[in-house]
Amino acid sequence: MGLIKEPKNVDLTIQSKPWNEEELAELSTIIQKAKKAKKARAKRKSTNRSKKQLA
Amino acid sequence: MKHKRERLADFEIDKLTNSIENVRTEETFDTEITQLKVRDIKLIHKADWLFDWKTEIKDKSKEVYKLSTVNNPSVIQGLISIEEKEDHIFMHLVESARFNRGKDKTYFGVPGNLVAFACKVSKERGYEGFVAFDSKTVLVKHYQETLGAIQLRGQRMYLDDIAAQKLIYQYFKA
Repeated sequence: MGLIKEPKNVDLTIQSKPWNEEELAELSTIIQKAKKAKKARAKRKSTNRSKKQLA
Repeated sequence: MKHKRERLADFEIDKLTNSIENVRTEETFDTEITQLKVRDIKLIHKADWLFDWKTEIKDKSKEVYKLSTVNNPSVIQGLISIEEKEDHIFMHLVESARFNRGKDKTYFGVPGNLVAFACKVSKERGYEGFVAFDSKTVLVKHYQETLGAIQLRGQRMYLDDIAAQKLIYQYFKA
């Protein structure tokens, strides 16, 4: 994988405006879900590893 | 696709190597990112920038970082302003230096490098890489395709743990 090259005629500038409470709450819910999913993946992985070791 | 995204999240980061590429020669240059404090304000020449970076540096709720090449740290290639929120990093501003804008830009990769850095900060501080920002309407699709950003609604976008990991891998692992 290489660098992400922006097109020559496009300038990638970011100028954010403050997010409102509702938007922040929505993002927090997504973050919580992602954290739970990550934990579940890690648990699955460790269970599979244990099963392999036992076999 | 889901499988591929999960695999990307498993990459290990063991070496810090980020770089930018000269548009004309295609030569790459190693870069470094340094935080700017109030004492560094003199490095910012107002005429070279679209945004008011001096005010940004003075704002204690924000952190401003400069991207420069390792060989020439006094020349600022781009700037980023971030804020640590409750559960993510918020990108207030990202801007390339004047000579890295327009069709005659000197280097490719400055904004990508800075966004990847924000992801790295987010991960290091326990926010799993989550980074939120606003996009210009015309750039929403571009950010989705190049950064893996997700549109929350309208111009509101974010990078999740998987997109962040991919960017961190691209920019900070050899």
